[in-house]
Amino acid sequence: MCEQHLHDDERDARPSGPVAFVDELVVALTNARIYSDEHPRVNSAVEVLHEGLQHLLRESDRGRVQIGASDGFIFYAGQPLLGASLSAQRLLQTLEELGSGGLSFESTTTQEDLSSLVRFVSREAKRVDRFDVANSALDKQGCRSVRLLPPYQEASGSWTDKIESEWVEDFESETLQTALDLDLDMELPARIYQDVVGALQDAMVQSCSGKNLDTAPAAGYVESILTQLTHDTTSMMRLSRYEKYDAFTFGHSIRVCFIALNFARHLTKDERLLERIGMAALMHDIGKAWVPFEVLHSTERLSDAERAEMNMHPVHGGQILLDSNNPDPLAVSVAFSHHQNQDGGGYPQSIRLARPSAATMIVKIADVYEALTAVRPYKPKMAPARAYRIMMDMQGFFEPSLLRRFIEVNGVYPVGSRVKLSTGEVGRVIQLTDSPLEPIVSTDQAESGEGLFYEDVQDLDLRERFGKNRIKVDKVLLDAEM
Amino acid sequence: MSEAIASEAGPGTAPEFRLAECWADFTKAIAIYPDSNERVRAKLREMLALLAAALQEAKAERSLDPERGISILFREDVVVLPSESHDLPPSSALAWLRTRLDHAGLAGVELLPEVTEESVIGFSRQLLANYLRKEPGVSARDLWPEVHEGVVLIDRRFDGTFGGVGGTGTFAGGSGMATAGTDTRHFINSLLAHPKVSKRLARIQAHTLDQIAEGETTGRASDMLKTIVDELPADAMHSRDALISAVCDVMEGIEGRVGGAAANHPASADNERFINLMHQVSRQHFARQGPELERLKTAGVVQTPAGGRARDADIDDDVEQLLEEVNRLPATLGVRLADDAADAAAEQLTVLMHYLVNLERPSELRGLYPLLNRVLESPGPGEFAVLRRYLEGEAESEAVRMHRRAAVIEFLVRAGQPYLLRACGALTPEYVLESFPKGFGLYLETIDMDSPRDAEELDDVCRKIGDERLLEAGPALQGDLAKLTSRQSSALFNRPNRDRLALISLLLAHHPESRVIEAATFLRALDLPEEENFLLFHFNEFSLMTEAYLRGLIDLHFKRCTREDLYGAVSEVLCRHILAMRQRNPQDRARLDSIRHLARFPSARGWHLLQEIAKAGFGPFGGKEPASVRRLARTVSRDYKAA
Ligand SMILES: [Fe+2]
Ligand SMILES: [Fe+2]
Repeated sequence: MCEQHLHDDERDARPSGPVAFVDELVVALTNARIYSDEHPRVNSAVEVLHEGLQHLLRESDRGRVQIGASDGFIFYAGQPLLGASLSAQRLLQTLEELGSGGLSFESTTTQEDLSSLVRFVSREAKRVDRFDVANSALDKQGCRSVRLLPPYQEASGSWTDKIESEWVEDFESETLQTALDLDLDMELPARIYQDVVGALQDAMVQSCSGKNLDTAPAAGYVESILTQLTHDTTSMMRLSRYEKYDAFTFGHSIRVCFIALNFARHLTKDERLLERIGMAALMHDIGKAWVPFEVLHSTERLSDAERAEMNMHPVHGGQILLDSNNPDPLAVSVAFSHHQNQDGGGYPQSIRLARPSAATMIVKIADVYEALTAVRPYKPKMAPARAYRIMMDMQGFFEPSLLRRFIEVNGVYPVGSRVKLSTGEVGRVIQLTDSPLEPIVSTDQAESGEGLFYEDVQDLDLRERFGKNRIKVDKVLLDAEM
Repeated sequence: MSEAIASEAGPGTAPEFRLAECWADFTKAIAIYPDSNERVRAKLREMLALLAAALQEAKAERSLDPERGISILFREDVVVLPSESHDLPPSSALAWLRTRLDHAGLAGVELLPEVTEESVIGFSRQLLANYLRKEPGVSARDLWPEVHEGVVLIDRRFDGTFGGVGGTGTFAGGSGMATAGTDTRHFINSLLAHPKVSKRLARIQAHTLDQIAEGETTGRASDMLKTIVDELPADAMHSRDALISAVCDVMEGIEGRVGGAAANHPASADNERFINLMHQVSRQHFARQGPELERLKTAGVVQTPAGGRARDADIDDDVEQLLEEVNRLPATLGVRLADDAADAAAEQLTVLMHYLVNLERPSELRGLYPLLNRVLESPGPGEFAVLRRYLEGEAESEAVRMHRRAAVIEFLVRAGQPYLLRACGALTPEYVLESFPKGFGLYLETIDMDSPRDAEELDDVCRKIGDERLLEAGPALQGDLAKLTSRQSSALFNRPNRDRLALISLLLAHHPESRVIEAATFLRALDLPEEENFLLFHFNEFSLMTEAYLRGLIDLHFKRCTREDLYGAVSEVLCRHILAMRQRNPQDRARLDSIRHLARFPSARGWHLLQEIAKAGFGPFGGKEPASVRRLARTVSRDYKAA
């Protein structure tokens, strides 16, 4: 099992539905920020977007599709799309700046209309400060089927404009709030995640378009991640999302950052060092920005030459970071070394040291662990135990004692994972204990599958259930969560 | 109260047994009376006195582990004490107490020396309160929210884990763990996770790395631990702590054995059985070497390090299997990132150097040079090793190697840190000798003449190169010598040494004016046998020296010129002196000597000066020479002519 196969081959059947539609919109907008309007990559993204829209229109009986945007979240048919919201930070930001509550697409929407929208949001929106002005600008470009919606107003529960408000009509006025209330703990982590994705998208745009990378914003968010991890590891570690911009997976980078930080903070209390490691983890794959589009997007097995291109991403990464403002040598060396093997294998070819730095070893471990346990369209999520065992089999890739420490820190049942207990109840691991197989589990689902009432939710320390009362973890539940 | 309960070890009057009974009596009393009641108080005092007596009695064992107290636990109908166990009669105070302990999830307690009246009362009150609780499934944390000083709670969860408990109390080989399967594995794994155990395990593994690398599967930690636990005497298992400390004892013995050191265990009767066990375990787990290991390998018993799993076999989610595999990994004896600074700097340098030597225009990469400079600010051995590898390491081809080398050298020189080249061992004397004159200029740049070692090394290198070769390389070294900073070249004149004479000559040719004084000082210190060097001792200051004279002196020494060739240069220095002193003190002794010396070193310049002095009398426009001096000039002129 080699890591290359784990996350360089992220080629998949395209998912459909509102989440995919929003994701494609984000990709199209990002592409438009990087390339000229006529660039084939912008065109192809719009084409995909149009297909997605047709699909949604077929499923909808209203003859139009409306995507709501409020309070930092994307809504569809009355439901918040948490996953899609996580990567749509820049879109949400633009809509908010325009005072708009979302987008409405008529059934007559053409590819040209979508092109106009993408061009407008990614380029021209900055010059406009109100959604109605934006709509007239779209009009002038001949785009009449796409509209920016007025803001959703909680008081009246309806739009201030004539445009219908389908996305809210399906739920009572408090649903929007309830949807978030469902898991209040998740809100702050979600917002941090959103911010980091936004910063990564910017980084991507900067490095793709040949501008110097500005790492300062992302560095600020790493600080928040660290603070949040310290206060509430569970909800932070629960956040995982598969989304991708081309083959550069922001979600992967962010999760690697979480995992690496959560590990590293058990090894040092030096906050500055932790922030540097977090930043290095976040940026470890930034070099993929320079890997040719065709290689990243190839659906065939990569030829040797293409593989060589792909394997350049660590070298590119170091270079991009070296050219950034105020580069950190630690991040540079992590990006450069994260696919190198201790026994001289891996890539890129370079002079090797007997011992990689701890930062590199930590990110390598987090990188592979994330790739193995993440949800991917082409592969199911994997139980941590299996991932660890595979990693132990990857000889020469990890420092064994550090891998052991990682497994101890991350746990057989990592914090944040959902587990099924021998009683049939289901819960979430909220804390590890000195006994590897007996974490503290917060149960929230009865044996019957019914959710427990808030009062019945309890934190079970499995160590304390012994003898006849012994409760064991049966298994980790692997279903995608978001 | 010593009324016997069936006893195997005697009449049951040992302090530890009386302590157990007294504890039961006390608990009963406090269930009825308030804390201050005299009956309660009396029992309490008696109990603490008995504890002291029992601790005294157990002095021998406790000398090994001073923190150890007296444990009292109940198994079924047996009360287990450190050195004996007794059947429990029904409806005794002890049986009454056991019920209450049971109810609170305890098998018993260990009473430590530091126990106080207050903590015993606190514990007993909580015990009684717990007995009254009705709700089922209360967690241990809820049952025992407080710590009672000196009272160690012994968890009932080991119930059934140790079949040996309640046995004869002597070393009972094979009476070990009764339950098999997952519970055993689970228990062993929890042992392995204990820091004390894993630390010792790591040390043992460090000693036996070879065997483990060889695929010595019998060295597996869990197997070894299982053997130890199986064979441990029953009384080592009365509490988890006692068990862990017994396991650690045995492991320490094993460590001594496999590490080749003598086991650090006094062979007293008390621990004899531990020593036996230690020998047994190490024989069983660590003695398979050489031919036997070979045999096992061919028989397929010893398998691959990955636990015998074929590389492509399916890996499943089995957590017990996982823990076993994890325990086979070397334990971290405190991985701390703070210790990592050296590795990190070396790695960063490696990566930055990679860009330096591989990019076409590295200077265009904004961060590269600044970061390289930063990493090289205070280089350590790790960074030196990296530099060395870039300078001298192997490469795909000689061209690549040379390119790499040149790029690194260029950078370091440009960064003003060429000394690093020498510091990292890239410019060894051997290398300089071999590559002369190519690396010599760089070598000079990197040498630290303030260090006696460096100075000596340079002299040695110069001697080995030889005066002839050095002087001949003059033209080739021109560029290199020009690159030396003033400070660097000036430093070469420190610590005068004959071996460096040729080098000094070259330097002088390069920096004629600025180096005259230094060269003169250098040459005076050498005190060359040549007659012409008398001028170096003739004057007190060297500002009047000329490069021609000094170089001539060296050339004369190297027999690259004749004495006659030097006349002009000597005469020139004399003339300069004579003229310079004219204003200050025309009748200065050294000046008069200089005029006399002119006769020995005939030159046109000297002759003209003599003539001039002879004629330059005092006059209305201000005379130049006193009469005595003019007279001397005339005399010397006559000698001149004669010569
Ligand atoms: Fe990568
Ligand atoms: Fe990665």
